Amino acid sequence: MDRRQLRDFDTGILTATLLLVVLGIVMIYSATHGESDPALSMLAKRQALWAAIGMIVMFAAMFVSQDTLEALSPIIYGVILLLLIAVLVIGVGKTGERRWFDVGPMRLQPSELAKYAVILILARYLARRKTRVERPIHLTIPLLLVLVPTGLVLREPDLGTSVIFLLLMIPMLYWAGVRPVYLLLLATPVISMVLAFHWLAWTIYLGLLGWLLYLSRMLIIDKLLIFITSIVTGRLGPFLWHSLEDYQKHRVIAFLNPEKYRFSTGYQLIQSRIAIGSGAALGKGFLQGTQKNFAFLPEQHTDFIFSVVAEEFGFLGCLIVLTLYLYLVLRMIQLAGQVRNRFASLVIVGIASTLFIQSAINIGVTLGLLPVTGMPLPFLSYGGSSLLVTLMSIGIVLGMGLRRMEY
Amino acid sequence: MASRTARQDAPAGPHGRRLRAALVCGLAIWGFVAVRLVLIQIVHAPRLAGYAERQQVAETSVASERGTIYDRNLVPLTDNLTVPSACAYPREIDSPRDVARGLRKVLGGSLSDHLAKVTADRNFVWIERQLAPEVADRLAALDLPGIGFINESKRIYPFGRQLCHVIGMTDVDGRGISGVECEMDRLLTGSEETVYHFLDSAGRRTPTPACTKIVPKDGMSVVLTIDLDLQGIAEVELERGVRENGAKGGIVIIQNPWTGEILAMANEPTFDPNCPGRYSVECQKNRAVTDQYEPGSTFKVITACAALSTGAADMGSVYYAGQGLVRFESCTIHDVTPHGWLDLPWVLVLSSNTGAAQIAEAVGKVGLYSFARDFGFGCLTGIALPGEVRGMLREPSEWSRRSVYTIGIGQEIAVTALQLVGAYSVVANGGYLMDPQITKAVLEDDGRVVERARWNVVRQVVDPAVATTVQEILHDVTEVGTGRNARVEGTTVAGKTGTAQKVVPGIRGFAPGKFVSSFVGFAPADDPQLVCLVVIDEPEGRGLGGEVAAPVFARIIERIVRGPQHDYVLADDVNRVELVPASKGGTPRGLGVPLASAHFDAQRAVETWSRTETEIVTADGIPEDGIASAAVDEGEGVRGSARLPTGATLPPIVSPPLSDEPFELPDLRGMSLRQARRIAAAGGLALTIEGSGTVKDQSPRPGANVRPGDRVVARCSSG
Repeated sequence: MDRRQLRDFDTGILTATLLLVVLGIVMIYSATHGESDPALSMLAKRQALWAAIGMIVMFAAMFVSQDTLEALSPIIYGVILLLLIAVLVIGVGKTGERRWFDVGPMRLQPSELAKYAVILILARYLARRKTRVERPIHLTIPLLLVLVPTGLVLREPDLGTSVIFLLLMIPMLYWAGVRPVYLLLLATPVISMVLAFHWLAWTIYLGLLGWLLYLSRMLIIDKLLIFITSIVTGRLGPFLWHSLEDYQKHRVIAFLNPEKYRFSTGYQLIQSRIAIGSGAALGKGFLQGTQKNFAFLPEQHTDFIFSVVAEEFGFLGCLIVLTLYLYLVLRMIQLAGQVRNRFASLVIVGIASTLFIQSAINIGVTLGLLPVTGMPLPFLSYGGSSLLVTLMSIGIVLGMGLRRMEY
Repeated sequence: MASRTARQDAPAGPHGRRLRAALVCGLAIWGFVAVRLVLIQIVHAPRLAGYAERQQVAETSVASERGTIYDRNLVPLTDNLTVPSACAYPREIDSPRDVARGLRKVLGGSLSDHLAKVTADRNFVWIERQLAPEVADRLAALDLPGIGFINESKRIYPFGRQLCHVIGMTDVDGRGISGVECEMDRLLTGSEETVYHFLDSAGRRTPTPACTKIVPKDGMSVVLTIDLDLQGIAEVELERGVRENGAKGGIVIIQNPWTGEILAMANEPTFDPNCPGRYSVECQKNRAVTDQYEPGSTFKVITACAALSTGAADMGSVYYAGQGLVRFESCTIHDVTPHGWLDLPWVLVLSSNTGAAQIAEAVGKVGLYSFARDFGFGCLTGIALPGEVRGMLREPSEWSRRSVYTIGIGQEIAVTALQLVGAYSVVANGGYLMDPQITKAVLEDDGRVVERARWNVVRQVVDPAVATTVQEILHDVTEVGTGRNARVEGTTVAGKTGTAQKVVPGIRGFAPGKFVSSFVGFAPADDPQLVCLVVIDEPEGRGLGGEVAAPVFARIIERIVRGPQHDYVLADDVNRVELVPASKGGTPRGLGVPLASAHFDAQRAVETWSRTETEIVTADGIPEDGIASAAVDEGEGVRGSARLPTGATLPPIVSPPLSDEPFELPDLRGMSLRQARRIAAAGGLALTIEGSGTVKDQSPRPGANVRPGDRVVARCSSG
C-alpha cells in the first residue's frame, strides 16, 4: 500500500460507518436499559465486542484484492448455494423456519452471506460480458444467477432476504449499462403477480402492457416473451400466496390493516408507530423512551431499533440517521464511479444497494410503509453476524477504493 | 452535504449520470420516508403520545368512601354498600341478540332496549346500575360475552323515611342531590383517589415508581344536631296529627333555644330515600325551609315584643275589642268572638285580632318592620340545608295603609317554619336570635373532629325582661287561653296558637276552608329548654291552631318528658350536667353521652358569646357550607363545654349506650340488612356486615348475652 493509495483512502465512508456502529451500540444500550433479564442487559456490551471484531475483519477485508475476489467469486457462489441447500435440510430456526446453522456459540446464517455471493457473481458476469444487453433474453443468465439463491432462501422461508436479492440486481444491471426500459420490463411480471389477485385490475393491466409492447420497437419474440411471462406469473401469484406460511400471510394482511389487528399481528406495527409518534420532533431524550421500557415495542433491540431512535431522539434524530445512511451509500456509489476496475465498481454498487435496500426496508417496516419482514437495520440492529458481515463488506469497498486506479 | 459532494465530484460521462440517478433515487425514497416521519412524529404525535400514555399508564380511580351522616349521638344515618352494576362492552359482543336475550331473561325489560345497549357504538355502556346481589349472581352465571360487572358504592339509608328530608339523598353516581347530602356534598365526597401505575405490555403493573395524584382520602363525616329519638317522636306525632285531621301535610321543628341547634325537623308527607322514585317530588321537599306560609296569630308575639320593647304598650295597656269588629281608617279587623276590653296579655291569651291590630298601630310601620326583621323574618337563616327561602317581608315603603294592621296579626307576611321557631327561641332564651344549626361537627374519616359548628348569636332582639314577660304571657295562653290543648302533665308549657287562611294561586284573597294551623311554644315554661313548632297544613274543619296543632305539640312534649332517657331535657330536678371545659377536662368526654344533655348557665353563656363570638363570626364570615370556621378558643370554658373536644378520636361508633345491662341478642337471621342495623343501633351494638342481601348467619349466636358496645357480625347471603 503506497502513499497514493493512502491518499485515496475514503475517510467519508469510514466515518459514517463508525458513527452508525457507535450509534447502534448506544441505541441497543438504551433499548435494553432497565431490563431485569441479564441476558438482555448485556447485549450492548456484546454488540460492542462484535463491533470490535468487525473492525478487524473490515481492515482485513481491505487487503483482499479485487482480482482475488473476482477469481474466487464462482467458488464462493457455489459454496453458498450448497450452504443454502444444507440449511434447508439441517438448519435450525424459530418457528419451523430453517435459516441458520448452530456453529458452536455462533449462528451461521447462509442467506446473510448469500447476498454478497450474489453481488460478486453478478458483478463478475456483468464485468466480463463484452456485448451490451440489448434484448430481454440477455438477462437470462443474470436472472438465473439471482433466482436460484432467491428460491432457496424463499424456501427457508425468508421473504425479506429473497426480496433483497431481486432488488439489488436492478441497480447493478443499471450500473452495468442495461437500459432502464428493460429494468422496467423486469418488474412487469412482479406487478402482474400482485394485480392477479383482482381479475379486473389484472385484465386492465395486461391490456395496457400489450398495448405498450405493441407500440415498442422490440422484436416480436421479445414482446411475446414478456407478455407470456406476465400471464404466467399472474396465474402463479395466487398459487404462490397460498404456498406462503400463515405468519407471512398475516404479516401482509396486518400491514394492510394494522388497526384491526392491533392486538395480534398488527401489534408490532401499532406499537412501533406509537413509539415513533410519541418521540415527536425532538424526542424524549436518551434512555427516556417509555415504549421500549415496558416491552411494548417488540424486537426493540433488533428489527425495531429505529423506533427507539425515533422515540428518544425524535424527528431530528431520525433525519440524522437517514442522512448518515444516504451519505454512506452515495459516497460508495461515487467511489464506484471513480474505480477503474469494472468488477470492483459493480461490487461497490451492489454493496451500496444492499445497504440502502436493507435500511430502507427496515425503516419502511417500522414506519408502517411495508409489511413486517424481519429485516435488521444495518449497523444499528443487534446481531453479531449481521454486523460482522456488513463491516466486512465495508472493508471490501474501502479496499477497492484504495485500488481505484487499478484496472 | 451528500448531494453537494456528489455534484462537485461527479465526473462527466455515464458514471456521472448514473450517480445522479442514484442520488435522485435515494433522495426520493428517503423523502418518502421523511414525509412519513413528519406525519407520524409531527402531525399525529399528540394522538400517538396520548395513546402511548394510555396503554402505559393505568389510571385507577378508587372512589373514596362517602362520609357518614350521624345524628348528634353518633347514630349513623347513612351507610355505603358495595353493590355490583352490570355493564357491557359492545365492541366485544359478536352476537348481540343472544346477549340481549340473556339480559332480558334476568333483568326483564324489553329486548329492543337491551339490544340497543349492547349494539351501541361505544366501548362501554351501563346495562343496569346497582343490582341486587342475587340478580347480579344470576346474570354472572349466564356468563354472557362482553358483559361485565363493576362494583359501585351505593348509598343506603338504614332509617328509611326517618329524617329523610334533612338527610336528603344522593343520585346513582353518589353525588348529593338533596338535604345535607347535597349541602355537605363537598365534604362528604372526599377526594377521589387516583393512582397511576406504569404497565408493561402484558398489562401488569410494573414496580416502577407509581405516582398517586391525589392523596386518597375518604369523605368526611357530618354530625347533625338532630337527636334521632326526638326526631322519631316528632315524626310519629306529626304523622298522627296530619292523619287525624285529614290534613295535607305538616311540619315539626324542635330547636334548642340556647344554642340554635335543630333537634328535630319533621315533614309530612315523607319519602324513602332508598327508593325515591316511588315518591313525588312534592314529598321530597323539606318544607320546613323551602316553603313559606302566613304565620297568622303566632306572629302576634312579635307584635307584642315590639310594643313592649319600644314602649308603645305595657302590660297595663288596654284595648277595646268591641263586638268582635274594629274599624280602622283603612280597614276593618274581625275577631271570631267579641271580647270587649282587653289588656295586652289578654290580647295574646285570647288571640284577639282587633287587640293585636291596635297594638301594631301603636308600634307603627317602621317599628313593626324593624322588629320583624330583627326576629329574622324576611332573611335567610343560613342553615346548612339546600333550598331555603327567605319568606316575604316587604319594606315599609311598599306597605299599604292597612298593612300595619294585617302584618300585626300575622297576615301579609310569609315566613318559613324555621324562621318562626327561631323567633320563639328568642323569647325562650331571653332575647337572643341564634343562628339555627343543623350540623354539629365535621369528622375526619378517622374520627378526628376537624370542624365544629359554633353557636352564634345573631343579635339581641329584645331585653331579657321583655322576653320573660312574654314567656309568662305565653304560659298563660296554654293555661287559660287558646292554647289550652297544649298543656302537658309533668311539665309546664308556653306557646301561641295560629290559624292562617291560605292563599292559593288562582283564587283572589284567601282560599275558603283552607287553613294552616300552627302551634309554637316551648317547655318548661319557666326554664325553656326546647322550642317546638307544629304546623298542620290544610286540616279538615275549622282548622283552629288550638284544636289541631296544640294537641300534637302536647303529645310531642309529653313523650319527650316521659321518655326515660330524656329526663335531662326538661325536668328540673334531673342533673344539670356539670360540664367540664375541654381544655382541663383530662380525658375527653365520650361521644356516647348525649350532647343534648349539655345544659349550662344560659345567661352567662349568652353573654359570653355576644361579647366574643359574634365579633369573631362577623370577622371570619361564615363559610359557604354553613359550618363556621374552626377557630375554637379552647380556654373558653363555657364555649368548649358541650362540644366535641378537638382531636378526640371516636370510639367504635354505636348509638348511645342506654344502659350497660347485658341482654339477649335477637335472632337476626332472615332479616334485611336494614332491620339488622336498626336492631343493632337500638342495642348499642357495633354491627359488622359481611356481604349483602339478607342475613344468613350471625355471630354470636341468637340468644347469647351481649352488652352495648359489643361487636356483632352478620354474614349475608352473598359475599
